[in-house]
Amino acid sequence: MGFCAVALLTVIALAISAQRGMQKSSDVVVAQSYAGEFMEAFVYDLPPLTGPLWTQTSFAAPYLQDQTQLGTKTYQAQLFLQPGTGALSGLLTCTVNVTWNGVAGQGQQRVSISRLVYAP
Amino acid sequence: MRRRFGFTVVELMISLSIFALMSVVFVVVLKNVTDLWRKADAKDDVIRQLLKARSALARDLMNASSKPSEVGVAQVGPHGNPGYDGAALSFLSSDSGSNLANWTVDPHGRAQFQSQITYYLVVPAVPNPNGVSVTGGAADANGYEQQNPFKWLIRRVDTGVSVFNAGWNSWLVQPGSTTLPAGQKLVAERMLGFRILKTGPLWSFELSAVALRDAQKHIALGQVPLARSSYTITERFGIRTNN
Repeated sequence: MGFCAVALLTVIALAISAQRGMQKSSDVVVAQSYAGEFMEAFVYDLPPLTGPLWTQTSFAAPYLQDQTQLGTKTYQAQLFLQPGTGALSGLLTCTVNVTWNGVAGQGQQRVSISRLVYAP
Repeated sequence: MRRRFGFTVVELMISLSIFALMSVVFVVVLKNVTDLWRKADAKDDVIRQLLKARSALARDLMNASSKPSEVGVAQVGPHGNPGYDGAALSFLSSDSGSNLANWTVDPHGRAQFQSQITYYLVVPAVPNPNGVSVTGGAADANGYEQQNPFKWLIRRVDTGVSVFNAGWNSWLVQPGSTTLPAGQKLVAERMLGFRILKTGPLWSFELSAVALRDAQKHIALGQVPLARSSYTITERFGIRTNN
């Protein structure tokens, strides 16, 4: 009896765990696409070298933010800028974090992408 | 008195109870594993369809014209449903359309347009897989049909074109057979939605598809709105044209 109960509970736990993992993986695919789109939109609209963006030494955090509903979940995107120093002087490190609420028990999930950008 | 060998009724009942319990455990295990396999397989299929569509769009839009006069966007249908089937776009491309490396450039090094490429999402006039019946539901807030998960994303190539054909809307016809005419290709066949959120040069798209094998076990597929269903994967992405 004890063995059966343990086996049954183990199987149920494994099934729930696998299902959550699978759900998370498809959420990550969606979040990465959204992060890529958000990054592309920012890079596309970058001002020329004469713009004030390229002389700033500090930026609001987050510099840009947005949110969208894709399927049943709402994804929040935040874009952070960090001026380059040393060999990276004149460049900006652009990081996009996309967060969303995972299924019950998973808490907040996040994917992040970064890119070095320079004046067009 | 001679002793008789065998099992008592109580022993038999205990062993049968243990066997019955183990059978129950086995059935539960089998059901869970089967469910998991089906869900994983269905989601894999969705991601594969979305990836195919996205890759095809990305490859073609890299070679597309950026001029608004050489690009067109429209809605398709409706075909038997209250809302549009999906979106459509057409553009001049510097690719000949056959994936050959025979590009031509002008004396300034600019790529010359050699074809007009059209993508559109349509409800095909062929029976749905496994005889699933699809009825027309209310359109979503953007005017698009959201109950038919068996739409086709079609890519049409018209070669030898260097001037944008403004009459491309007439090409957005409902296919009546699984064999498409020459110059047309089925990019993805189990799609729910295709929307153009922003036109070029930095295009923004939304693609969605449904985990069919999983969904059909739990809901009346084709009878309920699917855009916000937990079986639907919706992907948003941007592509920048280079020409």
